[in-house]
Amino acid sequence: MKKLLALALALCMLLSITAVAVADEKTVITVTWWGDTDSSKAELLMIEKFNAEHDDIEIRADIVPGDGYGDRLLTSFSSGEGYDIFASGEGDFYKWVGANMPLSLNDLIANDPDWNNEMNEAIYNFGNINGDQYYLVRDYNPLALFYNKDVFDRYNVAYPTADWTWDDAIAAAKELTVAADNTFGFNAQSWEYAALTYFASKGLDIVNEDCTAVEGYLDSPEFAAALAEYVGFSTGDDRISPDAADQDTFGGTSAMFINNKLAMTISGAWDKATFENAGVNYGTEVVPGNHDSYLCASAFAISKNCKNPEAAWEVIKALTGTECSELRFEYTAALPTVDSLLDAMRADYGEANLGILASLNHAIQPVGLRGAIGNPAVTAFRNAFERVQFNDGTVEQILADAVAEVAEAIAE
Amino acid sequence: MSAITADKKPKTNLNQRRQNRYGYAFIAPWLIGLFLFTLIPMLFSLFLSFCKWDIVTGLSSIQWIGTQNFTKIFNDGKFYKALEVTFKYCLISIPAYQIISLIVAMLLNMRIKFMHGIRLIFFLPSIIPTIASSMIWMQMLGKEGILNQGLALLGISGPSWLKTPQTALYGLIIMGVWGIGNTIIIYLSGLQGVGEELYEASAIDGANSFQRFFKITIPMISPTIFFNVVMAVIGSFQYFTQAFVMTEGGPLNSTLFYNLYLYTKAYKDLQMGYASALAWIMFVIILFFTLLVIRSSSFWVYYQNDDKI
Amino acid sequence: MSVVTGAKNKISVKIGRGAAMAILIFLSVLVLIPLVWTICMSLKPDGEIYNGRFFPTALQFDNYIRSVTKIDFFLYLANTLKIVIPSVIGMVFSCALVAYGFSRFDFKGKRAWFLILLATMMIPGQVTMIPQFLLYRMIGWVNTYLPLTVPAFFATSGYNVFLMRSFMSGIPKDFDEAATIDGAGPLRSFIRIMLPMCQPVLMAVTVFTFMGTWNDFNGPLIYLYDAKKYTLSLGLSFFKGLYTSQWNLLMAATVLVMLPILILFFLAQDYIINGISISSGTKG
Repeated sequence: MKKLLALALALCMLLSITAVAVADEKTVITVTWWGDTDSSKAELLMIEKFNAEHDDIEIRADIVPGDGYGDRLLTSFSSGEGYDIFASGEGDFYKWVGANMPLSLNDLIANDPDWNNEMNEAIYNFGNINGDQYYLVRDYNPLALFYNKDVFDRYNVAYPTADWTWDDAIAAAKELTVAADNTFGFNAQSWEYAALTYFASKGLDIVNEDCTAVEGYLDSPEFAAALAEYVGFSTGDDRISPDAADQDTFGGTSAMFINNKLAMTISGAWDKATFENAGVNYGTEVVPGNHDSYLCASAFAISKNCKNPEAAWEVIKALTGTECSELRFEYTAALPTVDSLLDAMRADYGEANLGILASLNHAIQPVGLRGAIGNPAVTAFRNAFERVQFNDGTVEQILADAVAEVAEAIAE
Repeated sequence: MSAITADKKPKTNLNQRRQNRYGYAFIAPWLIGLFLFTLIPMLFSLFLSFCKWDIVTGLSSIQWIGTQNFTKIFNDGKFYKALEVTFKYCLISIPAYQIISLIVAMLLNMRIKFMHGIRLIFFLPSIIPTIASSMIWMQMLGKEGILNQGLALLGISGPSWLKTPQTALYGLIIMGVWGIGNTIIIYLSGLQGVGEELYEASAIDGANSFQRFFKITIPMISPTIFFNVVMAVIGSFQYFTQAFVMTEGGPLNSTLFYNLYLYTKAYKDLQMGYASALAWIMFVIILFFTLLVIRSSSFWVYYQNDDKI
Repeated sequence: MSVVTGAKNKISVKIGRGAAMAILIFLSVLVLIPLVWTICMSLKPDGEIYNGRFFPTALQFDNYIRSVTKIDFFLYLANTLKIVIPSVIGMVFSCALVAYGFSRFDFKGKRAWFLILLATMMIPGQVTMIPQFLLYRMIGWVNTYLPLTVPAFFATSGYNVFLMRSFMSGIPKDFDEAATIDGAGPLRSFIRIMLPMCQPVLMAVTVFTFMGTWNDFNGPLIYLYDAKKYTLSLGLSFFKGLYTSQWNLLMAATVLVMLPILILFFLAQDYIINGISISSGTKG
């Protein structure tokens, strides 16, 4: 048995050596992202083209199911190797930089004066962490206010407009909440991006401007009052938003919106496809108040372990460039990252979705991306939100605890 | 010493040598596998529990920090919370699942028409992938779900089970009943092994069905019970998947199972050393309870061949 | 149950049986609802995924064809079999050998080794996953099926060894002793006497291993890098897109993936249930 095993081992080693030998002719750049072949048609076409055009570089793509992407990424990097280029959601941008995983692109950019960067500046800056460019955005989704026209029509309420204040929105939501029809006016979700967008559009934030402190923000009396009010929307018999139990009953908020039981919700551009496929009569508008709304994004980064950063740079440029963005819009309706393309597609995007595009002008960076304190602040906020929801102390006390939690996390 | 025993001694030694030789020959595949595939990762994780490692920067960034992880753990409020949730789960689910499995197995052991089909039905839940079953259970445990509709018949108004801090853990325990198909099968086969003639003899003696159950069935299937209980102890303390998919530890950490906390530490917070230390604490806990069950087994498990562990 | 008892007893037995039957049917319905839900969802047209109704208004069998063509279903099926078949064979035979060793020989250190066998199951897999990956990477097994199949030949499942050992311990020693007297060596009496008597537990381990390997998500996820080597369980999760979920196709694929296990269990259940008797019973 042992002999056999040794033989098998030797064979494997031999095979891997030969594999390396063959690959030596071209520089192989490995790339990974999550999704499936259907949702990645644009990237795959781009890669095919790239490989045909370059006889010195070969891209090897690895599409991983979303459910297992994190595990796959970590195991592959644990050996000190991993992928040359990897995708990340904006929620993890800071984490990877903190773990020293992505390579700063500054030098590569400086050494490539011919690079024709057409990316929208705000979207490009999304990949800038602590003053260094680490990520190049490939796909992004602004949050906007989605409203169900049929529900508005049913109760004769005027559709949302761009000059709505939150008072207008809540007043409308009250009219649209009809217990007899199991209909709710607004969706005061616990999902922190939606909740923080709500607060941001009311001019409230959980961190200071340079994202270095939470004191006086997360625990300010104004924020406490707003949080209590927001949670109050989905509690009690006079609630205007479905609570967790209502969502169970009606199959979640997407289902409620589709089945005309929910009038308004804050969501991202990805719901466009869901609602269109389900045939909902809906519209979109900028978020009420000052319109500030969070932007979700996914981006590519080059790994620090990459042995050929120059080759990887060529690849990452191709995968986030204008041509790929155009393909991505064509195949998956992902919003282009380039202004000229964005203008060109406006006409085809559909009247109902123009609010999403309008929101782009008010997009703000999620707290987690703004500084080292960002992610701990979001975690503390999420915990505090849950505690307020379940009445686990006074709002002031809970928010004071949250501030302490952030301090503790920073100390580590 | 008498001549007879003196004569016997070398013979037992010879026999013992043979026992050793054959015994090790038969368990050799496992022994080789143990050293090749199992032990190295285990020891590596033990080593990691004294280190700091963020995984993604590779092996070279592993840093020895002594017992710091353990001292930190013992001051970590979430560690105690996770222990509490896990112990509560084990305390309820281990006995409850065993009793329910045994009862269902006894029902399935009857000679009834269509039993083939019915047995198949009870095995079904173990087959459905978690991805599908968790979707279904979200609805069944909801405010207007099937469970609450049943309770409503009894005049009880049930909560939204998984969304309420006080009930989320019980929701998961109720859901777990659905997946005990394997345990049922093993009990069922154990019951099939109990000879009918034993029941017949006791029926003549005038024993009622309760007496028969406790005097014949239980002792006869005690090795089966032993097997299932040991595996339940080992498995329950490591409960993970459903909580990971359905509640993510919430609401208010009410379903923060130990392994879920450990997973979060390792793969979300990138603290592999801390997570490994957590894992080895859990190892000691499980080992303790398993040994407890094994020790107790001499009082209640009856083996054909006196083959104790 | 017994023919010896009188008429009165017969009636009470009948009532008991009726009650038991009623309970069983009730429980079966409870168990079946989620399954029926799965099937109903798998037949729903796209527009009805979110309508909250239990039954579809029209049965769209086309979903099954769509789900098969949307992913490389047959390629994944073939890949899955490449892992499942060797794993099952390796697991059943290696575990039987080891279990026989533990149940029939009184070798030195047996108790300690068995405790170690149990102990290997007590360390949370979440922390051994990465060390394991690093080990297999070192020997060049990553992106091959070897890490998913070879360990099965070394009885790496403590559960299965323990189950088989318990079963074998329920079989009186007289059987193999009789064979030994006839001059058969231990290996021969294991193959000729023990294995045939162990059919039920061998079947059970077959089903359990088949199920475990068939549905394994993490193993293939971590070790297989080439999409052409992916398995069905990985393929299934492709349906669960990040933002939009095609639940009807997912459920159709789920049903298709479940089917083989279902058939296997149906065929094997006679063998299994008629005695994985680990009891001290007289059967065997």
